Amino acid sequence: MVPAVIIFTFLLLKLAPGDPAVLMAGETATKEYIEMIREIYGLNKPLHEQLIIYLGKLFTGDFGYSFTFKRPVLDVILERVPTTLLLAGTGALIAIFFGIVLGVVAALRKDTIADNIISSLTLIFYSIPIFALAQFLILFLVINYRLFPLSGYVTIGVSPSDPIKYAMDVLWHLVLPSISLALIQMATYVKLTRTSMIESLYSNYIIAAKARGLKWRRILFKHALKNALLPIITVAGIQLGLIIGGVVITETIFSWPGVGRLTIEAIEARDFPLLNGIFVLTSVSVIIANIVTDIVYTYVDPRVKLR
Amino acid sequence: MLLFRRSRSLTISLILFSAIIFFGLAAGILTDKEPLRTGYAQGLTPPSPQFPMGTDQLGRDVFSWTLYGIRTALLVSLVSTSLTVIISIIVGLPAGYFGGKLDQVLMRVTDFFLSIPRFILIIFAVIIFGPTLTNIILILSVFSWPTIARIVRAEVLSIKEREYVQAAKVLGAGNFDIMFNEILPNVMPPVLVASALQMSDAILAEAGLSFLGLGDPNMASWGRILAIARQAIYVGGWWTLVFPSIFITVTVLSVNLLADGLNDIFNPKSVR
Repeated sequence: MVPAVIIFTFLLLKLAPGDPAVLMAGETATKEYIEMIREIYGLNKPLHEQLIIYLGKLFTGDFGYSFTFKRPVLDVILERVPTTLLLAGTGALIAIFFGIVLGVVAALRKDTIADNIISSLTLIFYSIPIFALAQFLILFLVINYRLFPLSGYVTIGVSPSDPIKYAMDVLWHLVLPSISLALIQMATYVKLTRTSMIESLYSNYIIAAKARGLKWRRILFKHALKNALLPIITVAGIQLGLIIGGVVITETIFSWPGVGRLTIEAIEARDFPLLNGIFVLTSVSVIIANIVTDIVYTYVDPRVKLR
Repeated sequence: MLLFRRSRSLTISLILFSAIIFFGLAAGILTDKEPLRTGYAQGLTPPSPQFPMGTDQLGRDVFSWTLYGIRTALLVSLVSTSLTVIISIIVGLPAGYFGGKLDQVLMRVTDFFLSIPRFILIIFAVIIFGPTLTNIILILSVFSWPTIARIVRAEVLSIKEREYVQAAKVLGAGNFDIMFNEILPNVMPPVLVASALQMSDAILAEAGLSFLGLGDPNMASWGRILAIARQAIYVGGWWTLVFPSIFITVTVLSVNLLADGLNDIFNPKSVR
């Protein structure tokens, strides 16, 4: 799968109108530099030889040179990965936690006002584009009430030498972007938990557990919820690939210095090597994450076997 | 009428969706202003009888932009979703029907497209090929078909074993005939549900691209006015954010409810 992604990007670059050497070097590059790129990537050679050179370079970690940052592409990207993981991870955890809680409440209060309110609200949040939702949060909580910082990762002047103050400051900056990301994902988890919770509440083993006279709380958490949560793992893995678009937009709106913001910087500068590197690396990480999800699933649910 | 009684989602969805379509079609009657023209007013102006939704920093009329935005959103999402469905059927139908090597190859390709992050791929493709309306529609369809193709294939796998398909085979119907006349009509219910979701996805993707400055510069897109709102809200111009947001949310919501409603009707027994 991973080589396929690389071959695919290579073909996409080949399909692009214009001289690939100019694309790789950047529009402002000098004639000599363009010729150098042409030489390094063997762009005068036949297609299959070019592909081999390209594959060889990517597999040895050589993603080329970013002309906007004047540094190797891989370094520029890796530097931004932790901040993005912090944002996307927090967002996912908030969404999963509240999604499960609300889903269980909706399932237990099926067809009541509480259920209807939870279902309608989450569907509305699911339908709001994140760039509208995030701006509403900014309008109310930043511009009108000044509760949270406008943007960025940490206040200028707060240094990591005071770790507690630094961590609190980062957390404070993290609130709005991670809530935005969480709200748009939450509907999926609420709906999933609600459906599988209702199904498992009416299944035979729950009825059997009730007949045995087990405590309701124990039935609920130990028997029903445990089984209802299995699909969450699969969906969380799939969500990861889907939420990347949301991460790009959230990081842009809140100037969060992660890979998403970097993507936009690369677009604005038409920095092709950087964009290409981001694309290949995000694809590869999504593929790896999906494999990890599958493996985790077999541990959690012993009925499933990896082929 | 019975259909509406059976699904509240479908009723709400059709009411909202008709309203949106009405505003989209009547855009030319409801406003005499052009959506992208600057200088109707001096800078940001709050809502007034002359500008029902105010103007932006360059004096563009938000009301006409929002109304013409409906046309852009519906054009992009309807055309790209139709193309997506066509590609999905072309891939999924033979894969499920013939099985074997063909199925393996087609599903490998499908898995490949499913496993790469779609939005980044779309961004990448739009930059390479240029942000024109046609390109955006084509790119959205070319990179969105895998989900529906998988649904088509899964349905075909179960339907091709049914008795009426076997009967058609015994009567001497050709493969092509069986695929399109016997199987395809019965594959459509879950495909229609998935296409409604695909449509809301396409509306959000187009708006997302425009928000990032990768939309067609000649089209009035909600994404672009919301990008303008990013600066406007700091100087009090809340109307540039609120009105377009309401329209895009209601549109996406009505299409999502449509998917829910179709699902209610096709699977009356499913958990609700």
